[in-house]
Amino acid sequence: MEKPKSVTATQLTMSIGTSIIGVGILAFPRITVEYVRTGAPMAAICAMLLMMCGGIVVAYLGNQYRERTIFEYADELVGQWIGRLLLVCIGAYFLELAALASREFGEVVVTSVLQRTPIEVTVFVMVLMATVACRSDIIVFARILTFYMPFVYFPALVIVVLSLKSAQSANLMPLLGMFYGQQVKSVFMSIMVVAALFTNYIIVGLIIPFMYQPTRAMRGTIVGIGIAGSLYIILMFSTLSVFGIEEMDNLLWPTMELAKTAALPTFYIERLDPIFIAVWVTAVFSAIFAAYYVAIQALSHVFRLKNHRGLSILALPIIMLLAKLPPNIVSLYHVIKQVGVSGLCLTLGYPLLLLIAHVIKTARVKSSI
Amino acid sequence: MSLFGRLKYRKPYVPVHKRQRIEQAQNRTPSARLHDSEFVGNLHHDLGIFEDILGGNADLLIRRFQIQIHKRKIHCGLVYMDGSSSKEELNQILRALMLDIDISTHTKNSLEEIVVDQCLPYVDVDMKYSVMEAANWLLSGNSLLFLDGVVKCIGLSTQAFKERSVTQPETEQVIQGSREGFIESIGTNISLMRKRMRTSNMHVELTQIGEQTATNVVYCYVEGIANEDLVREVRGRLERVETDALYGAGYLEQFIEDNHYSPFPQIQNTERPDKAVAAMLEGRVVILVDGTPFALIVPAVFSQFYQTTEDYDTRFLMASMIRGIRLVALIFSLIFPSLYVSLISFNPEMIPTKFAVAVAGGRAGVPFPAIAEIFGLELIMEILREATIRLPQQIGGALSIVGVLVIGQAAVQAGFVSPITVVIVALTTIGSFATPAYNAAIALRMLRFPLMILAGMFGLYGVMVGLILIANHLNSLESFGVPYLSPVVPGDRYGLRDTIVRMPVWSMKRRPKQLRTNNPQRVRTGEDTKGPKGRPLSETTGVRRSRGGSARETQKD
Repeated sequence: MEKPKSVTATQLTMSIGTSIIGVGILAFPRITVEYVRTGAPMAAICAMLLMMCGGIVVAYLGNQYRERTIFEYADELVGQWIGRLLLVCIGAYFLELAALASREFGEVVVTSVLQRTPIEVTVFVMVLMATVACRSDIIVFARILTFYMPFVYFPALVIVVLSLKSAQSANLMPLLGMFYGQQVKSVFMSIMVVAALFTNYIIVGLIIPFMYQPTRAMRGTIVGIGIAGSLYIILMFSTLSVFGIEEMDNLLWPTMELAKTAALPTFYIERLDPIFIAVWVTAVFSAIFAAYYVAIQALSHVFRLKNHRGLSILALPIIMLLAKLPPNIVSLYHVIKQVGVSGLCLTLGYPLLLLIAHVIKTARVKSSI
Repeated sequence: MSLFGRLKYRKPYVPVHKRQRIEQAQNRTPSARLHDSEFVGNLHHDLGIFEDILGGNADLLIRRFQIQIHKRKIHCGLVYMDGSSSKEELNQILRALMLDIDISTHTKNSLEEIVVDQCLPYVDVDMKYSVMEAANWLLSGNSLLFLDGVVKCIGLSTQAFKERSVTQPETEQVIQGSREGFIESIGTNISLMRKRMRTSNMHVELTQIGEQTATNVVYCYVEGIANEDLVREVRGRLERVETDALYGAGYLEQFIEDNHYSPFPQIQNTERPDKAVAAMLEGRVVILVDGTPFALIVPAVFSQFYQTTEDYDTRFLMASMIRGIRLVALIFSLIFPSLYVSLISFNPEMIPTKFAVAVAGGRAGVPFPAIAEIFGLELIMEILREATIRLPQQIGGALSIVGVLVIGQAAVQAGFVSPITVVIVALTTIGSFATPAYNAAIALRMLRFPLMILAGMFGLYGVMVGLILIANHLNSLESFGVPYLSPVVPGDRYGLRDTIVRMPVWSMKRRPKQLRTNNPQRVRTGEDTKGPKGRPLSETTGVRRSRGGSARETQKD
């Protein structure tokens, strides 16, 4: 079936930029600093570059198969059964990702704003929103993600600007010898932890067949990942410069603490952090939505469904169950770290595998000519 | 897949015995009997058809008379509807036939040709061959002339329905700009648009909708600008309307809109011919319905509902500022009460301390939680608003003063609500009145109630959840294949010049991109033409690139 063309390259860029920024934005400075101390900004840069490579692979493959999504042409490249097996893994991984993100944000909300609300309620609200939104098709999916871009980036940048006054450059030192004296394993882990935040970049493979100009997808993908990466790097720098590595270890969500230090003294509003929490609901929603949507699309392709709508409701109880599994916030972050890093092999490995298959296939075609 | 979506209608199932009964009843109706009859050429018989079937109607009149052509006496009959036809014109017709008739030259033409070509000094004369056709003509207020021995009748356009004169539009008043508004008569409305657009490209197509009312519906577009797919889609949707009666434009709107369950209007209506013409030149289709002083404009996007024609009549800086104020008012009317509830009940630490003390002091004697208080007051405000609409103008003004001032003041003094709540409710209501489009304003005004409930449950988080749900809905909405939030999403940098701000008129050289017009450029720019400040115009319109893989060749970035 021919796919309607309605997504522009700008929309692709903005969608990627929005989907990558999720609830991980709150905790990632702490986790990275735990591994590499002041090397954390460098780890974020490396992670961004790593994921850009992944993005380039997906965009390149998308350009080779312009009428099909990444899940559809995988069947041709690696065979139907291996394709299905991989898709089940990807579907399960992204469902887990969506579940963990909603659980994490549920914890954030319950801890900071709604202390008396049971966590199940806040998680359920997030998941329900994503479920309803997942009933839309890919064009609407791209539109929704595009729409939220300013709501995701603007508050974060405002926080950074407002908190600059308490920043100390000494906290960043040593700036140049970033990974100096760190173990290779912890450097690797820190990069992986940040890179795991980027896994939603796989939506490129879904959106490309709906684009006016797939040729511009490559640039759009790189810029999109670059924008999201820059935000992570900026936030890394500003949290580090405001709190320093010693204090960072004690802060559960350094980015939220950053919002608390930001204040407009003479204005209508005295504290800004509740507003940031509220506006970040969009960021969290869009990330959960993207992960959920990828999972639904993958699973509906496994079962060769014509319409993915019904599946989104079927997945709702599964996500709720997955979100309830970690007993407390400590084990939640443990699970997030493990799932994130192991899932990275999947989200980076899947396009890589397809690329290899594609190269072999084209080489064979060429040699046969 | 077609560019513009399709609608599905399903016919209801009717059991066989019921269907038979319905068919029997249908066969006895005058229109079915008219359908079965035929003209035979005998005056007595032909007039008898109308006498028998429609003769029971008090306003059907038949005038029998004789005329003389070539020394031949011919019996004639004039059938007309009393009141709907102009008596003066009928008198003139009779005068022309009975007195002024003078056929000196002998021709071989048949009788009816002689009468039509040489005796009737009228513009609009039409032969009617079938009874059904003749009856429709008659029931539209026209008259029929029967000649003995002729197996057809002559339709004379003597229609004279009463119509009011063209007056100022009531709902879309402007300070500068035209004072003409549409009226109920479709012919006048078309002429009002023609008056403003003297291009042969303006195309007006007529259909009739409604089995019983057979209401005239006209859709107009500019050929060479409007996308053919869009026109085809409009035509298709109009054809698929199945109803016995069409009472007005709002009635038709509900048949052809995309999402029937959305609170947001997906079709714009306007009372102003200049607005309709401007919409047509953007590449939209305008639908007129006989009997309604409103034109429907499709497709409609969200930004159209806070724009007014006046925005384009004033200088761009002022227009942009006024539009900005209107947008702020729009957002006020949606989220102000819920924001208040969440700040008071969930995040009082955000309010500056002095003000928080004042708020707490005002709320000291109030027994209800903030959500109950504001919900009740907003509800009362909606009731007051609805009540004042139905009242005559003189009483309405008095009632609104009583409602707002006296009830508000008394409620505060009675300790029923806090003063700040009254302020918030007043701001919300005023904000909702600043939105120019009534149907869009009412959508946002109604949506603030669920938002208030969410705010009462979850505070700011709840407000945000509500807003996300609304935004998701808006993003998924389409009007005749055009995304509802365009040109914001999907972005169009030329369209953005006329969305939140309004850039100078001379800089808006392109039609809205989302409409996929056949002629995206408003002005054809020559090489030697200079724009304002001496720049070549081609510079101001940017680089023209053709989109590879786009739906049509002519679509330019």
